[in-house]
Amino acid sequence: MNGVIIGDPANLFKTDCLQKKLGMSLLLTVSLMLCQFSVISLADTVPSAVPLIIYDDELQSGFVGNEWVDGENHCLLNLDYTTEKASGTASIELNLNHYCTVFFTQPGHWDAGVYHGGFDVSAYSYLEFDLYAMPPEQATFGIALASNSWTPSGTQVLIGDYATPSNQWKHVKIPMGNFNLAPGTLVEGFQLRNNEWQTNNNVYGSVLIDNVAFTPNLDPPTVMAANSNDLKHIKISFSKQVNPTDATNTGNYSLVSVQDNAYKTPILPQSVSLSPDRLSVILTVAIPLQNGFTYTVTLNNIADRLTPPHLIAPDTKTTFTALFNPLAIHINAATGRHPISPQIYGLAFAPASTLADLNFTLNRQGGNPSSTYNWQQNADNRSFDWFFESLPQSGGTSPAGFIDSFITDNRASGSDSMITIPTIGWVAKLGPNRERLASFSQSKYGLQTASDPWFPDAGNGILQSTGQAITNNDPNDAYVVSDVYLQSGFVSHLVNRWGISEAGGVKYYNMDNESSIWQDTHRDIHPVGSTMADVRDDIISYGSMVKQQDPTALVVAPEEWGWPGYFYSGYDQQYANAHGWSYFPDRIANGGMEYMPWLLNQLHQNEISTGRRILDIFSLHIYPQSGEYSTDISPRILLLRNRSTRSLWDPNYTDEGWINDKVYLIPRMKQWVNQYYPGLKIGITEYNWGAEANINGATALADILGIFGREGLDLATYWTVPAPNTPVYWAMKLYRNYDGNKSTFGDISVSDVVPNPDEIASFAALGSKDGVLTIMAINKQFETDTDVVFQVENFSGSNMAQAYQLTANGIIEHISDYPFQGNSLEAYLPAQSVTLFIIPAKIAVKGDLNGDGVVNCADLMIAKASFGKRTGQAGFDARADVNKDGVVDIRDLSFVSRQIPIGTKCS
Amino acid sequence: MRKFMWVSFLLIASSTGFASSVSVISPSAPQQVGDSFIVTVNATGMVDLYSFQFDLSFNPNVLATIGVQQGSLLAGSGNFIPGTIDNIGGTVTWNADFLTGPVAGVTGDGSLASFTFKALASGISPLSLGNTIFLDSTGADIRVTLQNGAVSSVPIPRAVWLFGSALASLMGLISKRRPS
Repeated sequence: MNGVIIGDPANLFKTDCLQKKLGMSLLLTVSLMLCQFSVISLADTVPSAVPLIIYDDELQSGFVGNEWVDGENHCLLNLDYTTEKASGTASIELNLNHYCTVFFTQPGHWDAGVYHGGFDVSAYSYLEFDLYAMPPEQATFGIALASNSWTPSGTQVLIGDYATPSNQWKHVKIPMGNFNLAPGTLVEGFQLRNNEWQTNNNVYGSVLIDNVAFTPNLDPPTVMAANSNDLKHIKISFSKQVNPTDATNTGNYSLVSVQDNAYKTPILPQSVSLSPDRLSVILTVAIPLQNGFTYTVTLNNIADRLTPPHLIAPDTKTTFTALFNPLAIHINAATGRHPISPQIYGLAFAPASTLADLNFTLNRQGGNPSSTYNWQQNADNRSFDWFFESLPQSGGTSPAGFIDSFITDNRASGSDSMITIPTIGWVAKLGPNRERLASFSQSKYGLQTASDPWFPDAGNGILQSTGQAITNNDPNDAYVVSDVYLQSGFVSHLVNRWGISEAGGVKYYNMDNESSIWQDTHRDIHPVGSTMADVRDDIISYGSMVKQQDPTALVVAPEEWGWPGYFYSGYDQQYANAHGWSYFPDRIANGGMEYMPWLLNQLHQNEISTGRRILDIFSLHIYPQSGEYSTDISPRILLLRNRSTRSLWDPNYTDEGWINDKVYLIPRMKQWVNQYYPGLKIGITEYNWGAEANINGATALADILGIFGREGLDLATYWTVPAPNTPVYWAMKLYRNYDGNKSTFGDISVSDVVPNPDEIASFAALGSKDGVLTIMAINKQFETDTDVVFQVENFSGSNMAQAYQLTANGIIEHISDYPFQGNSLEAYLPAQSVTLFIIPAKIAVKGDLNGDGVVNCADLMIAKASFGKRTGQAGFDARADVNKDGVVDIRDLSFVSRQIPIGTKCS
Repeated sequence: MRKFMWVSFLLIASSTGFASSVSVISPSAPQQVGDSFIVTVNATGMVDLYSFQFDLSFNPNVLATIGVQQGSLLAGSGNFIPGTIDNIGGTVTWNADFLTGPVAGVTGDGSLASFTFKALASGISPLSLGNTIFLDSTGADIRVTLQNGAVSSVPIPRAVWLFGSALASLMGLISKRRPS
């Protein structure tokens, strides 16, 4: 997947909102879809107490109605149907034909590349309207909230759920929660559409709707549930958002129990915290509850957030049974130890401020446009991502100005640079006065099905007249030929400007980008897919050139985009897409080997025959293929996002989308390297699991970084960079700069075993310099706060653990310390949270075998219990082997005994 | 008639030239099969003895160990560890004792431990020290001279056996007079 730089050239901005949708059934029919431009606001949304009326005899509140038609299939949209109405004088008549959609929106507008408009629909509780089905058939259709690009936000609600007999008005009241939209998401309105693509519905009957409005919930709050699973906290869920001041007042709650003598008389909680969504509170009690006992909480004076407020019913009572059932997580600091590469903390196109704040180590310049970067003109072609336009890059007319600025930023923040070397054979050119050029000029090649609104002559390469792709374009329209000599000048420029890698220059050079889909992404210059030999030869020739210029630099390749690209060359993918996925001429011509193993083997043979290593890092990209890489936070995608990170490591996990195979990417890459080119490092140089503005994206990202460290990945760069202060951004910061002083997660991975990583994931690491044990605990579950116990072996830590926590609040909070006693740490992990625990290594007290900070008879008992035992024997306790000679003898006992205070009797 | 070699103990010096010595002291007279007797491991000339460990090995065909007791030199330490008895292999391993806290060690003579054996059969059993460590109050090794020992056992005298069989016969007669 490649992020792109799109938009009006005068207002360039980076976005990853172009998505490739590739499926096995659609391979090589690469379609791009503009992703939702939904603006996610993390600001608190205050619920509205008054409805937002959309239609009442006529459209209200600035709403307009529009229809979207597909070819000849026109919708029927009559905003003034007077024959039948629920009330007043008119209703809306709709007939949603084949693929027809109507919109009711408050249109926003763009100004200098910035969108203005939209409203926060989460301020309302329902979408309500009256519905009348016309005879003879009932139409079923979908309703979805509409973003500013008229694409659905959240989940579509099927009106079939609200089916009604014909010739009758029925009131429809859809809870906003059914749309699964993140709080704060701005939308322009909603859309109604025939949903046959989802349900094969082919009933196109007409309906009337009337009295349409987003409405508030004016009911008082009620208690939905209460529970405690750790005997210290009680979670109470409300039916609607509650007033923070009321909800966090301990005086509004009291606990009582007929079973627990400590709660015979009502007791107030010690403290109360409100969840970020204002839908639940957590009461913390000073006196622990008793396991299995039943308690009753009485609530008073808690209002909703409306004006005027609606109070909870007086003396509202809720009863629960306290349970103590912590989840055990096992950490062993002596097993599974291996270094975590600092280069797994990489980004792409990150500004200096982000690199510095996140303390990330690596920054990549890559993506589709990088394949066509012309260093002499400082320009690139935006390829498939944006109407195949050649555009000037930032940095002015200076050769490689864009790249030099990029490297300047990286050096300022102490990050290494990764630069893409084009091998595709063409690079962008500009017109006079650095004017933009189009590969598919409409004036030259004819009208096309889409064009750049800021550069109307630039088409998408699909002719309106035929619906077919233009195949006879002249690459010279917007490109010049590129070869090794031209790129040698590029590398020479970088080495002269910044020095060789060892001297602080560019450390990594990518051998172009995602070559197996050039026939789509760069079909204006490379309409025929690359063969396996093409890619091998390019890596050898361009990689050799890099090594000649800078022997200390590292060559990274082949940068393949995803699953099909791991096994089939571009040539084979193109052929198979046209002729069926049963015959692969390029692979057959190369001994039948799969693409990546063949390529590794060929490059290895090249090294053997020439004595020169060209490839240093075997690199691939990975994007989840079932909708995770999006802003979608519907429950299905949230759960999928929680699970699908297994594709990075789990050999037993089958991808749940069209891949439908076991990916286990990191172990697979290691296997390939071990078998075909031993000694190479491995990298994932593009990945993104989406939902950057949602805590679910943050839990996925935290999981991924933990997996990278645990699985021994050598290098990784995220695509591209999360916006500051988004949850994913904070998750990154938890790993690398949790306290603002560039304190980090440890750099020596150790064993950390959880029962179910789809719900609770955990990663542990030691600091090589300070011995600190850090634990990154990730509760992926939507609503289930979980009490966990970390049972730690072979680590002597201080008695308290610091904790930093990221929740849906969207910031890192330094929360209260947790006790670390008896080598265990019990902690409360809120639903959808990431918590970093930091346990400093105990300052060693000689003879303190049990790590309690003192040497006493308990330590002597440990030593005596192991007396006479050797390593490997039953009963051997490594703690007792003080002098580490493999046997617990009188020297060890004597040492411990001599540290015990004088006068102590241990018998 | 076989001539018994009466050996009270054998003196085997593993090294010489140290002021401190540890010796295995066993009964000088032969032990009759079936008898129990005490073997003591004694230390002489110890200076600042804080802790020690040793193994004691014997001939399991001749002897069996039935107990280990703390000696007098570190009596009251509260830390005595009686060794593990293996009457098949003929060892009592990991005997140890040590003081508690940062205190001075013991200087002088005394026993380290004593062992109760039972003679199983006639023969000679060496009594050998091994796995020895002697430490002072700083944790430094104390160099000692080791003196192993031995013990012999002899059969029970024939007169005793005859008496025993006669007594058994008498008991049988008495039993037969009882009414059935």
